[in-house]
Amino acid sequence: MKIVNWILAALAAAGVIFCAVTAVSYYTFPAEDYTRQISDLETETEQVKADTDALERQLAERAEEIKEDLSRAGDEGARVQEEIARLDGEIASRRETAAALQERVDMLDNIYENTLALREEYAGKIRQLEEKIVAGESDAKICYWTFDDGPTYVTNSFLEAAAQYGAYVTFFTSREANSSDYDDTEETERGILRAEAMGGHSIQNHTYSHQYEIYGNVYGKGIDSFREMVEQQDQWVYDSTGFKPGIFRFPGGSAWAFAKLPKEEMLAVLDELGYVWVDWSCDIFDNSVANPDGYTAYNTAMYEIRTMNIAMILSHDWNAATLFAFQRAVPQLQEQGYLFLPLFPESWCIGNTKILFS
Amino acid sequence: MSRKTERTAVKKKKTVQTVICALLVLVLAGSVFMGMNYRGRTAQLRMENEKATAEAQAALDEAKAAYNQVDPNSLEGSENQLAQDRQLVDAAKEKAAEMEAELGSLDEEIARLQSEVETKEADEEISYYLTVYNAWLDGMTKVEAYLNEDR
Repeated sequence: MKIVNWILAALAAAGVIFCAVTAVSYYTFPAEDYTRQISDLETETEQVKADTDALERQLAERAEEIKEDLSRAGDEGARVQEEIARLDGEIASRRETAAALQERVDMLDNIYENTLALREEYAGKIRQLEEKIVAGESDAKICYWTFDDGPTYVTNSFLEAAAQYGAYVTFFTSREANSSDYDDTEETERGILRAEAMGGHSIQNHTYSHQYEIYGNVYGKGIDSFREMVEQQDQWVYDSTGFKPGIFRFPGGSAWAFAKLPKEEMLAVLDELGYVWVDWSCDIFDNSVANPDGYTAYNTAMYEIRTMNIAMILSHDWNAATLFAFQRAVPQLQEQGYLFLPLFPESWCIGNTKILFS
Repeated sequence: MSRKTERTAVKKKKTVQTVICALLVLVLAGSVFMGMNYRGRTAQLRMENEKATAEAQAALDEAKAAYNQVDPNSLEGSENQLAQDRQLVDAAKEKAAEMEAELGSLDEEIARLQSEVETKEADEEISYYLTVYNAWLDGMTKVEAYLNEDR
């Protein structure tokens, strides 16, 4: 029994110790530590969640800002592109304007050369049309209405009539042919010659003095005098207008002239001076002694020209009756299809001043 | 001492020992029972706390994972696009400004040329030749019209 009791006592003591130990471990269990740790973890979790929300919110706000900025940039970009397109158009237009103006300046700086070049081109076109008419390839008709012996006090009226009808004519001029009643000072005559040029008409050479009836100056005193008369008129026209004549018409016509001086010598002089010569295909006889009235001159013109596809009319711009005929004939002939053109040295008519039948 | 007394004393002694023994057994059983009870309660307490701690940790890990999933550079592409667009707009504005300046220069040039044209056209000689030129041009145009027709 004692041994059992001692064993039991020992076991009981062990049991008590065990109970005491477990009780101590129970009551000293660090629950606060766990609680604190859990609290810390929960706090940290809340913080992390808050940071996440804040970051997401920040990103969303920024995304929205970027979206708005992109939209604004897009609108502004489109507006600026429209502006650029508008400016591009305006710049192109301005450049065209500037180029056209510069071209105009250059043209004006070289107006004389340009005018001469145009004259050549114009003469070439007329020549083309003449050849087509001669070849029967065109129904067009040309009338070269020429005036001899001017300028005179009537010339300005012819210029007005020509301008009225859009007709271009040719003046075979002579400085001293008409010692008329009008003011034929150099200044006045130079002004009329320049007016003829400004009207787009052709100004050619009919000698400086035209004193053919005595041929004292033009023919009578020989070939040198003839040369002098041609040269003087050539210089006079050039000095007055800036354009050199290139066509010569013999005072009284070639037949009359060739009867007075050797043809070959006169033609040699003309050739040397750079001239061609021409007569006419239709004479309205306004220079005749009878000095017809306007109706007669008009009727003559209309009758003579009726069979001609290319006609060259001889008249004189010192005769008021001729003015009457001109004013009536031009519109009627235009209705018949005649084109009134200036005569240039390149013309087919040079050397072919004969009637052309239609 | 008599045998009865001796037997009674022995009996008493045995009773006392039995009682002591019983008490010891009781104490042992009680203490073991209570000890086991405390032990169990402690284990449960530990388990519950550790479970709660683990859950809190898991929640934190989950929150951190969610945080890490948020890419702060997700707008980088859009930012770059915005920067590019702004650059383009700025470049376009610069170009527009240059074009405005060029337009101004052209306007000045045009004014200068117009003045020069007016001055030249007012010149008597130039005006004269220009008139001749225009008249011949008019005549040539009429001739060209005839040339171009099938007549």
